[in-house]
Parts: sequence; structure tokens; C-alpha cells
Amino acid sequence: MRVALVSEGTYPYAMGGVSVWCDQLIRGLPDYRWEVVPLSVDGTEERVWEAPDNLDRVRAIPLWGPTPVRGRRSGRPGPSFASSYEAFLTSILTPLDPRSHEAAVNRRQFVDALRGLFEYGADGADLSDALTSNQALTSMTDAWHGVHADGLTLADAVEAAWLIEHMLRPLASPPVEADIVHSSMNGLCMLVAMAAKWRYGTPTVMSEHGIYLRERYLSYVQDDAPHAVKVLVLSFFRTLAGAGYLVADALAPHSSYNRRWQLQNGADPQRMWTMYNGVEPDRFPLAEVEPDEPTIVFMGRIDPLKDLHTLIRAFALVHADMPGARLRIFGGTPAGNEAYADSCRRLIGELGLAGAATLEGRVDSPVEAYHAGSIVALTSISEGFPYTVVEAMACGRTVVSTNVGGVGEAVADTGFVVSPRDAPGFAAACLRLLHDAGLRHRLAAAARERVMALFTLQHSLDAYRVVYEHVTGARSVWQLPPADGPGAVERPTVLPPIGQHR
Amino acid sequence: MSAVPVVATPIADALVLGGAPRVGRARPDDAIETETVDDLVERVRPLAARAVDALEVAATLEAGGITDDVARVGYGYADVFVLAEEVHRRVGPADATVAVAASPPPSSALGDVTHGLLYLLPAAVFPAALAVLGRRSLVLGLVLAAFVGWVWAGGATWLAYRLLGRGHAGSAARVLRWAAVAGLPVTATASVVVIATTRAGYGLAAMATAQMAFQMAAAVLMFYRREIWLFAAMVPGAAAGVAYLVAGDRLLPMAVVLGAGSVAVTFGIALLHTMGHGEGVEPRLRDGMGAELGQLRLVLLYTALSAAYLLHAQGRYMLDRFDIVVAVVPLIVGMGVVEWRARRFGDTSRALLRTVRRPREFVAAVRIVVARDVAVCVGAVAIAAAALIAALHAADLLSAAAVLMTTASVVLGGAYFAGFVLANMGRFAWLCGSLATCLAAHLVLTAAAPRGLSPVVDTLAFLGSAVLLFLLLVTALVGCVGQARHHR
Repeated sequence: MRVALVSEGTYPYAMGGVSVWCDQLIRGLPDYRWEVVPLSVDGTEERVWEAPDNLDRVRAIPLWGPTPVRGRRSGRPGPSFASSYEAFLTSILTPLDPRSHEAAVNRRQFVDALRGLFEYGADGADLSDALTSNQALTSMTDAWHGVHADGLTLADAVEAAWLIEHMLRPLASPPVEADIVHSSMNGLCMLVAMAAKWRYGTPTVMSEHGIYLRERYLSYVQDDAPHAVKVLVLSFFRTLAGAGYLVADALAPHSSYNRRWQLQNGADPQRMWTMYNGVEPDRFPLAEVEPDEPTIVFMGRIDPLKDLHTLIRAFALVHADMPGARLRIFGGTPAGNEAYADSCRRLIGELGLAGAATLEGRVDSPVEAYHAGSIVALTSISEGFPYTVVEAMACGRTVVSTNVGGVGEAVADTGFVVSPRDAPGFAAACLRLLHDAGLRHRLAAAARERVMALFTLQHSLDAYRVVYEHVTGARSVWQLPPADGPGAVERPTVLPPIGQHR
Repeated sequence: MSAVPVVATPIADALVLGGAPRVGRARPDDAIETETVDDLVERVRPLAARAVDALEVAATLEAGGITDDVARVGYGYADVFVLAEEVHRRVGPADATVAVAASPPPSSALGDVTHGLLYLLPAAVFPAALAVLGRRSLVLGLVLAAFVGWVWAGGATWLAYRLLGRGHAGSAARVLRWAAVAGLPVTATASVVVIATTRAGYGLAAMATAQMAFQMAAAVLMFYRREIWLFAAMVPGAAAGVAYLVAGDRLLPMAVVLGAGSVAVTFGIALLHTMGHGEGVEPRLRDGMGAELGQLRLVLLYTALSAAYLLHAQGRYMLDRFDIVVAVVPLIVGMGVVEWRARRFGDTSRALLRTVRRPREFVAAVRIVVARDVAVCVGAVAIAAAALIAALHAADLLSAAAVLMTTASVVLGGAYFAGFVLANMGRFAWLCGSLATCLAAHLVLTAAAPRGLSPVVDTLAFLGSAVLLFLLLVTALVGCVGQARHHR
């Protein structure tokens, strides 16, 4: 079996949860041959993961490099492009309730429009040139003014067209040849899967660790892009996300939390199997002792999504109550986040926590970090199903986390889950655990047991193997294991329409 | 049945622990004290008012700590999505009126216009250099340095601007620094080859290297908009050169020393300006340059053809026809205006994009701007040309060939403007093809005459090729300048 695994901004060029999962998946299914198709920035990125033996090829598709027009037919786009692009614009600009029948029809039309653009590029025409031509800009301004009275300058249209041209580049790349295209997330990765499906009929599996669309929304909340550009780009992402759910033969949310967003955007529950990230128990041994001082540990990258400011503010309250307490923040600072790391150091200084709260930097093994703490903390404002929580639980550490993504499903009753951005609440949870050794140890033991029962890597790999066999016809959906554990394939419960809750 | 409870830690527990969450505060007795939806709307209005749809509001609410349970228990809605729809509805549609972004401040006209005069500053030292090196070494050294410097500085600044545009200011500085430093041995080595093949004096190498140092320093300081430093550092040398012209041989050593010293100081100042641009936090230079190398080859070819086109026409007259050689001065003086208009054209076209609604309105407006700027560039060089012709006439040096070559300079002023704008649009293939065609046309005509063309016919042929270049570039510009994407 040949599997093409599509990624964006993660494996093999970056560390992080999705990259860990990609590496686990490839190494964990050694009887499969793999090709990785990363959507890269400009193709010059260096791999930070050692290639497994069964990884045959990495074929990057640069999204933001120079325009790939060499040898392609340019010139005035013809009617085939115009009709597809106008349908594309109509689909993204038509305001619809995402759960409505009209929205379902709209998603279908959007997929057809994408296919038209794909065929245009596959026919030898220069799709990038066409998407940014004055003809396409005229289509965009006409479509906009068909819905809005005002709000779009030509500069906005050029900016939006430029962004969309880059983001649609996977459609202009040669389709991948494999038995399965497995997209590690929704969004632009699914364009690779769509192209393969249209060209070769390749079945598609889509995993969602976080919710791609939700993260796009959050990334634009504070963006100072003109409103019209934001409308066009986010509407594109929203419609593309719905199209991704429509095209995927199997959809694997990595937590039940993710299912909510997927269902909201038109995903078919009959094609959804909730998968949970798993860890190798041997790699996360039980911590036998605790540090001498009450210590809160954070393990992860230094990133605004981790909301370390709330963690530091919460620790200030803890420190006021327990002057001997320490906060140790383990993890590297990705390029571009240096200013955020500096802001964390400044906040530590401003709150008088120098020496008590420290940024420890990258650590060779996360186990080292988990074992260094009395408890493990995570204050993220957005997560999928974070490894750091499951790994800490495997090490026998009690977790205090914000209630984001699938954290609640992972922690259950073995730790504390608090509202995001709630420093006093977070501090209260930490203090309760730090003061009560009995409770802390009891929950830690339960956490370890929970991981052993539900969140092992083998569970996760077995589940994906079953899904692969299902989408390629080797196994009927009705032969899938019963939903008796999250590490196995879980048949979804069909929820009643949300409106009925009102 | 799922073996994993969907948020097994009850939200009420979380809220008790929370102590003071802004929504759905729970008490130990499980009494839920909630804010109303109206309160929520007012609290999230700054963000929700800019949301594109209800899903964005849902994402924002979730990131602010509102879960399905909070939506249900605290506000009485089925989940976050339904609550978000209500918030979105109450906040109302985002303000769709166009806020026309403030135009960036216009480029400094004075800084750009002075470029032409700054390019001429070293010429004040040439008479002193002539006295030391002799005519042959001086001329060959200048031609060599002009060619190498044109290509070297053109490629380096293009790459630096590309890197700067991608936010890599440190990498841009490194490119400029290393190109400036490496340019000196490259020129010296080329000089040795020229000396070996032409039997010119070894002073040629010193002359060419000094001129190269000036050209690279000028490129760096103009890149950083520090023309004033270039002027200040070069004035002593230029003044000494003028003093030598006035006072004669007794000031020759001083003119040479101050001239060379000014170039050295200018070069040092330029290198200093490439320091301290945050290089430590950027990707490796090799990575940053990788994506640009394909087009860099075309850029280098374009600069080489540009240099060859102008220098080949001047070359045969450099030793004995001052009137024809000096005809290029109006073009050099006018280059400041050409660069200014080319830079302003970018500002103007981007401002146009922000004020029009549809591409067809942009096409009409931007073509008018092209016509205006071509006229300004041609006019500026024409004024300088008229002054030169008057001066040559007054000195009784005016000839038909000088008038033709001066006219060619005027035409090239317009062509160079079109070329700069086309280069900014990345149309290097067309630029190279046009320059190669015009260069070849003039060379073929020259070669076709068994005994060589007379200066009048030769300069007339060059003027014809300049007109052809002007037409090729302006036609291409008019054809593509209306494509709005080029002005992003």
C-alpha cells in the first residue's frame, strides 16, 4: 500500500504535535510505503526529522515561492477559466447558514469550481497568471458588488487574488500517485487530495488534530488586513473546509471536540471516526519521585497560542501563596516568536518572579521536563488533542489545563480543566494540587492508568490501519471494531440537528 | 457508547476553581451567576464587530473560554455556535465602507534627483588621474570599472531589495557588504587581464578598483537613502580635483591623495551602513537567496546588456572625441530624475489601486501616469542636453555627431524610465531581448561598413537603435502596466 501523507507547516520541516503524529504513523506502519507531500513556504526549508526507511519520497509543493509558470501557456484566460472562477467566487461570497441545504449545494458547487480550475491548469494553462489577471479581478469585483454595496477597492482585490493564487497552487501541481492520500489536516492540504481524486480516483483520508478553519479565524482576529480581504480569504477557508469534508472518504477528528466544528461545517457523521493521539508507554516512564520544591512544569513551544502570560500570572498567585514554588517553562522558541518569548521574560520580571519562574529552553527529552515537575500545566487557548497532556499523564503527572480542544477528553477526571485565560482559576487548581499531596498522587496514578488503557500509540496505529483498509475497499465499514475505546476506531454518535437544542 | 466522556471534568468544577471567570461564575452551591447575552455582546463587540461571519465569532468566544457548557448553562443557548450566531446578529454586520488607507509618504524627490550629480562627483578627479596614469590607462580603467560595477552593483542591489521585501533586512545588508568587498578583487583581477591584453599601465588596476569602490559605496548608500554621506565623503576629493584643474600641477599630489582618500572613506562609510541589521534572527543567506537565483541570472544579464549597450557606443570615441563622449553627461545628470520618477511611479500606481474599484478604471488612469512620467524623464534629460549643446557651442566644440549622440541620450532617458518600471514588474526577459536586439542592430550596422562608419553615421545609427529601444520598452510597458497585479 502506498500512502501519500500531506502536511502544511509541520512534518518534516517543524517540530510539534502534528509532526510527531506523522512520524509515528509512518514508522508505526512499516509495511506501507510512504510519500510525504508538505506544503512548504518556498521549498528551501530543511527537514528536521530523520526519514524513516519506508518513506520513499518527500515532494514539497511551495506555496509562497516564485510563480511556477515556466513552460506554461499564459495569456488571456478563456471561458473555461472564467466560468469556473465565477462559480468559485459566487460560492465563497454567498452568505449561507453552514448547516442549511443551500450551504450543502453551495459546497458541491465549490468543489466543481475547484475542479474546473484544476482542469484548466492540468490542460497546460497558467493558473497563477489567470487567477491574478485583470479579467479575474473584474470577476472578483463584480461578484463582490453583487453581494456588498461597497467595501472592496482594487487594491483589496489584488491582495486577495494574490493570496488565493498562492493558496491554490496545489491545484497546479502534478497530482500525487498513491493508493491513498492522507491529509494531516483540512484546508490547503485537501487540494492535493482533491487533485489526486479527480485525476486517479484516489481515496482520501483526512485527519484533523486541531480545527483548521478555527485556527484560520483566530489568526485573523488581530490581523490588520483590510476587512474585504479578510472576508474573501476567510470565506475561502470556510468554503474550502466544507469542501474538504465533502470530498474526504474518511474523516478522523482527533477528539470529539473537533467533531463539533466539522459537523457544523457540513461533515457527514457516517464518514467520521474519532481517533486519539497515542504515546508509546516505554518512552514515558513513570516518575518515581517529585522535585524537592513544589514545581509547575510547562512543556511545549513558546507560542502565543499557549498563552504563557496567563500561566505566568497564575503562577504569581501560586507564588504569593507558596513562596517556595517554582514554574519551569520548557520548550524552544520557533522563529518569529522571539518577541513573544521576550514578553514572557518581561512579565516574569514585572511580577517579581525572577528566579522562581524560568524559561528553560529546548530540552532533549520531554520526559526530563515532566519528571522535573510536581504537576504539569497547559494554558493554551487552542489545541487539538495535545501530546503534552497525554505524555505527562503517562509519566504519572497530574495535569492542570485549559478547557480547549480535546483536553477535557484526555484528562477526564484525572486532573483539572479550567477556562482559558483565567489566571485566578488556573492558580486555584494548581494550589489545590500542590497543597494536597494525596490528591495529587491519586490523580497522577489514575492519569497513568487512563493512558495505558486508552491512549497508546498501538491503539492509534491499529485504528488508522483499519480506516486505510476501509477506504481502499479491503474492509467493510461494518467490520470496524466497536466503539469501545478511543484508541480504537470510534463510530460516531449521530447528533440531532443543533437547532433542535434551542 | 463512547468510553471517553466528552469533557469529563464538569464545567461547574472548572468554574468553581476558576474563581473569577467573566462568564458563568459558579458558586459552591452551584448557583450560576451569569452575565446576560447583551453584556456578552458589549464585551466582545470590539472583536465581533470585525468578524466576517458567525463562525469567526464562535472561534473568538471559544478562545475566550466559552464552551458549549457555558453557552448552555450560562446563556441558555444550545452550544457556542448558536450563541455566536446570536452575538453576530446583535452586533450587526461589519462596517463595509472602504477606509482608504493613508498613502505612504512619497519617496524623497531630492534624494533621488541628486543621484545624477552624485554619479558625476568622481569625474572631478579624472583630470588628476589622467595626469598620473595617461589617457589609455584612464579610459580603459573607467570602461572596465563602469561595466563591472554596473553589473555587480545592479545584481547586488536587486537581490538586496528582494530580501528586504521578504523582511530579511540582515540578509540584504550581508549581500551588499559582501558584494562591495568582493567587487574589489574581482575588478582588480579583471584589470590584470585587461593590462595583459592591452599593455596598458598598471595604474589601470588602481583606477578601476577605486572607481569600483565608489560605485559599490554609492549603491549601498543610495540603498539606505544616505545620499548625504556619499556627498559629504566625496566632496573633499572632488574639490581637490577641481583645485588641481585651476591651480595646476603643484596640487596634483594633493588631488590624487584626497581623491583616493575620499573614495576609501566613502567605501568605509558604506560598509558601516551594512552593519547592525538584525542578521542573527534570519534564515541563512543561502536559504534566503535560493528562491531568487533563477531571476538573478536574468537581472545580471540585463545589467550587463545595459552597460554594454551604452559603453560600446562611447568606447571608440573615448580617446579622441571629447565632444561625443561628453554627450552621455546629460543622461547621467538626468538619471536622478529618471530614478525619482520610476520610484514615484510605484507609489502613484499603488495609490491608484486604493482609489479605484475596477481594473478598467485603473488601466486608463495608469497609462496617463506612464505618459506623464516618460515626458518628465525625456524633458529632464533634454534640458541638460540643451545646456551641454550650448556649452559645446560656446567652446566651439559642437559637431553633428555630438548633437546626434546627445539626442540619443535624451531618448534613452525615456527608455531607461520604461526599463526601470519594467524591471520592477520583473519583465527581465523582455528587457534583455530588447537591449540585445538594439545592441546587435548597432553592431551589425557598424560591422557592415568595410572601413567603419563615420562618426556622424555611427551616432545616427546609435540614435536609431536608441529610438528602437525606446519604442520596444514603452510599448511593452503600455501593454502590461494596466495589469493591476504588478502594482501590489
